[in-house]
Amino acid sequence: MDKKQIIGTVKQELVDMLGLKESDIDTTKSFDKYGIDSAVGIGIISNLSDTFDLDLDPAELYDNPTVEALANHIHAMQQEAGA
Amino acid sequence: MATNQGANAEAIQFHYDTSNDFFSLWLDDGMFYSCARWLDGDETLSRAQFNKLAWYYDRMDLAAGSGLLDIGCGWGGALREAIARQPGIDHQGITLSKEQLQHCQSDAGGNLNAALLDWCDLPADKTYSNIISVEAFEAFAKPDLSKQQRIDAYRGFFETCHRVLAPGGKLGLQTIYLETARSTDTPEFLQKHIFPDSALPELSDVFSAIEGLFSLQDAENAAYDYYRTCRAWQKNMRRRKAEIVDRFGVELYDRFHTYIAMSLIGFHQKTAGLLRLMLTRV
Repeated sequence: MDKKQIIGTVKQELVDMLGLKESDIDTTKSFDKYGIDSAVGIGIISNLSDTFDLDLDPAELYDNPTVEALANHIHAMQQEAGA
Repeated sequence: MATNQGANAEAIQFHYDTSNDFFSLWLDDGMFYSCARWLDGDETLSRAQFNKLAWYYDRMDLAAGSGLLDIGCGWGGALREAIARQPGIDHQGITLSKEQLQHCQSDAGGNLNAALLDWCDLPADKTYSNIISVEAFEAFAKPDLSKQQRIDAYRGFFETCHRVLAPGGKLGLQTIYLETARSTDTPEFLQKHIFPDSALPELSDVFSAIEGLFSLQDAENAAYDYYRTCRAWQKNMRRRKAEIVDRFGVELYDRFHTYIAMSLIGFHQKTAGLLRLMLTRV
């Protein structure tokens, strides 16, 4: 999956979890601006782990706090896993 | 005589009597349900758990003839390690969990001397050279206590330890504490569905409560160690998710997975810390 597709998947996860419209999501805006608390963040990371078949760390939401940053991180993990 | 102002047997059993088999699916082989001590990047969770015990036991004298009391002994791992270091050591574990007690007293658990007993009910006629208490302290005060009431509750615990320790005896204590968070920040989910009637101490509570009873020998904050421990547990849970869900249901899996992940985030974001203390009886 390329980076653009990963961004789309992460955005869709926010749409599903938060009930937002896709057009409301700015991929460079910090997750905390969307009111994501730790319980919701854990759900997002857990679902993304299943979707991408990766073992994402819940703390990665804080280390990569935007859609773009998280998508970059997932992309890098996929590259590493495929290497 | 001090009384326990925290979780009673029923509240402890709500969490720890979930099922020994359930915990065995994601804890390490020694069934340590507490923060490990990581010395490098490659060690196993099991190794890191023994590093934690070494931090305590290297600071105690476990020579033959000295006694060791474990308050909140869990599934007995700390006592088994003490016996491995000092065969024949006079030991006693106490817990409020029936499932943990059963394991401690079984062949698989090492046939340990263990009892279903609250710390406030420890007999006055028996003294020990050393006490270890790893992450039981979090259950010694209820969430609705004021700061002064919490300090008084913890002081009752330290007075009891002082009473059952021989002069110069050691108390090794490990507890989670509130770093930047305050007691009012604790998520309702944790208080209601994970650890009822339990509240984390603030650092100043602990040091206020030991005044005049114990002197500080050594201390460290190991929040990052707990982040790594939670991460290891979380990985184990995810790896065995299908088996856990099949045997224990998706509700239990989700509840514990969420709580471990919340804890992991707390240690990562430094809202909580992990205090290792070695105290000497004054």
